[in-house]
Amino acid sequence: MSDRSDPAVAGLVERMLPGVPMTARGTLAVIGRIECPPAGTYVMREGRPTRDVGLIVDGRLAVCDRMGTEDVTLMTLEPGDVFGWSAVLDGISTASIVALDDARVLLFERFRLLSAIETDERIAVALYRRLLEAVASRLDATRLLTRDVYAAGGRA
Amino acid sequence: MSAVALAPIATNRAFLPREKLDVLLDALRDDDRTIIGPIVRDGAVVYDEIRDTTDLPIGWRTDTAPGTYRLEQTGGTRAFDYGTALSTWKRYSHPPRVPLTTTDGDGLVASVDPEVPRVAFIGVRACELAALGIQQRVLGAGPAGDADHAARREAALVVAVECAVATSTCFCTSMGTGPEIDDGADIVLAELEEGFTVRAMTSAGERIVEGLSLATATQGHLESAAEQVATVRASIGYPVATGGLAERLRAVPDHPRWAEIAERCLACTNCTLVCPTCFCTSVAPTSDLDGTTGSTERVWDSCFTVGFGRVAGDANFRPYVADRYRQWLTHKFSSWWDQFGSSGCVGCGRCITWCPVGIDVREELLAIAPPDSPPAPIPWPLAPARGHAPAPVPVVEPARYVPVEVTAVGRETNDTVTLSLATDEPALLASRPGQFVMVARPAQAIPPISISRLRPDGLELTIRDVGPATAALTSRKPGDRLSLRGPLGRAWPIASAHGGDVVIVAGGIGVAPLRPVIDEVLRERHRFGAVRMYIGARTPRDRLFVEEMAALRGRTDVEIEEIVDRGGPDWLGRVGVVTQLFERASWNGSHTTAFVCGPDRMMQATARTLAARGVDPSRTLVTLERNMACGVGVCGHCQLGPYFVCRDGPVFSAAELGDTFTVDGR
Repeated sequence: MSDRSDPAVAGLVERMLPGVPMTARGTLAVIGRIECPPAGTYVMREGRPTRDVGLIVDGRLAVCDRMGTEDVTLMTLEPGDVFGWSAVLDGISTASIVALDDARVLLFERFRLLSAIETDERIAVALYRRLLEAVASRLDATRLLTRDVYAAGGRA
Repeated sequence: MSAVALAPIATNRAFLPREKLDVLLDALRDDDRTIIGPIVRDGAVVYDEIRDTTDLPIGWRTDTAPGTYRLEQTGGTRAFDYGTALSTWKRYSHPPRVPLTTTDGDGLVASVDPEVPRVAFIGVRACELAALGIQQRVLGAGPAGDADHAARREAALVVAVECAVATSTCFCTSMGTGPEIDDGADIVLAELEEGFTVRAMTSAGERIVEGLSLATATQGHLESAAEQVATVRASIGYPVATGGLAERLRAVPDHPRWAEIAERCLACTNCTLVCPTCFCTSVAPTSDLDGTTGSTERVWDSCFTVGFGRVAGDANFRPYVADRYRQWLTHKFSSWWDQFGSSGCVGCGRCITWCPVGIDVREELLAIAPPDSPPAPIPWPLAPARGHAPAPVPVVEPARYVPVEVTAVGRETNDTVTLSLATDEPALLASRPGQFVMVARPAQAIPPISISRLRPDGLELTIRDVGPATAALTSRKPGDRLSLRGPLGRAWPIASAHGGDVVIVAGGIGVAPLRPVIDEVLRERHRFGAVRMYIGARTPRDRLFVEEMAALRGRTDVEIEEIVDRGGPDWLGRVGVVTQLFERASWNGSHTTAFVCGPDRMMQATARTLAARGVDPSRTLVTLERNMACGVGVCGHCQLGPYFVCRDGPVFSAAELGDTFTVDGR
């Protein structure tokens, strides 16, 4: 992979990670790449090694969990949403990510991203905050759904 | 005190010789009154009808302690030295069972007018007078008041007797309710060895006393009476530090003592049944075998019962004993002040005496909110939201059921239907978005149902089948008739959103009470800025008003997004929770009014997300679901902090609710 940044990637990094300082954005622009998974493509698979952290640029992705023989959609993700955070943890995907539309995503390869994080704490601060917000949002959603399962509510 | 009494009368005290006490009873009876007073039965002093003075507990005294009550015969001649009785006067002023409705000749539910006896209470204590006064404030509050209670108090003449003895569980001195009697009775007696000093406090009392032709009490009589009651005060002391108690209790919703008490508390409800101010009730239906006719009664209930906070669908807002004990204690000593301007406790000590495990409320207050503990840093959020009416919407004859006809039945989902109802009842036709009605069918419980559309000739109710009462409604057919009471509750303050943006967030059946908001906002679209709607449902099949929502998506002046918790192969829309629809939206909420309805957890999460988007909490409006048995704030079921949800809500702003919205078990 080149050490020079793709202008298209650089533009997306600037647009989608506005809180990251300029020099750190340069680093991310170098390690980032754009992919366009067609509708129906598995971007990540549950239980398999995952090599990228991603941001949705266009289109929608589904977070899916295997229930028996079927993949059940737990949540849909929209442009701006983060996915694949397992890549900066143990590298094993906890859910499948499937493109619902012809999508465009900005991806950061796991080891290059971890290396960048270790050498530039500003990247770590910006990225981990974004990941933490995404994880908190999904935990909140999971909590609400769990409550709904255990305590049916709503006025008759 | 008789409600027909005029201004207090200043009469000199008279003296009633002991042997002439029957003359007083005769005078009360000649006034066409049934006399209720203390008698000994089953090893306790209770209140019941008395025929003459031999029925009174002459020579009986009581020894009480936490969880202990013992009656002893002293051989004396005094009739009122028993301390406090087991029973309370609420048995007569707010009876355990009161008929509410019956089935009329047309098979419809009709209200029952109260029939009350003309009575005289004799032997009422200072603390009990305070309790009767509290009860009048509680049951007389709100848009309607309780007609049965008002009639019973109107028909009661009160003869009080000042305490000459105190028991170890008395603490009226701390609560400021006794032992001296200054007000609240028609006649006040002080019992001495040789007889009674007599004071008439009202014109009704004076008429009775004048007819007795009594001599004036001597200075010696008056001094003895004063000395007696002073001795009682000194013997009780001041066991509860009430200064700042309400604020200190509010500060400790998570105190570990709540759980410790719950380990001991049996939730037997004794404390609430013997409490002279506890007023909570439920509505109990009865029916004939084929379910075509039936009646309902109002029956005493208790906030300690597991079902007290339960709502349709089996959700329970106070599932644990710790929740229910905290509710009871904080209501009595804290939020009662906000609701009714006084403490809900009069210090009679019955809850201590009759607790089978001897829980002593004085001890618990000291442990949970000691005098040196800090008060809550933030007071109850009582200030009404901008533009939100602070008082309940006046209700026209809220106790009266009116017939309506089902003109159409629309099936929304597998378990939910919308009934179109026709009526020419002006009160119902004047309903506002956000209000609800009580919907009655013979032989069924009477559920509160939000109005889901207002029409010139009636209204629509969208009902989910979650139990027998709602099943009886969802199975109606065109031409059937129902009985409605309402409209009830506070409406959405839609006009307060004029000139700004509107966000509508609905979860599940919560879209039903918001539908009239959508109707009004669209009808007056020019008054609002951007209009955004975020609608969530469990599954695609649970979505309500599908065609109407599809039509809204075709409009250019409204943004609408939907999401479901669980999608399916045919669902191409978003999957997740409703807050995901706007947590990263680009709009700024600083000029936005939000209207929100759904499960509590969803509304709490929505309020947080809206606040993060800049929506002022006073402009985040939610409508709450609680167990609303009466609809007018007299049954106690729907209490939430300083509010009754049915009367003070169901629509509140997030600012009004404050932490009452987020602390579990309230």
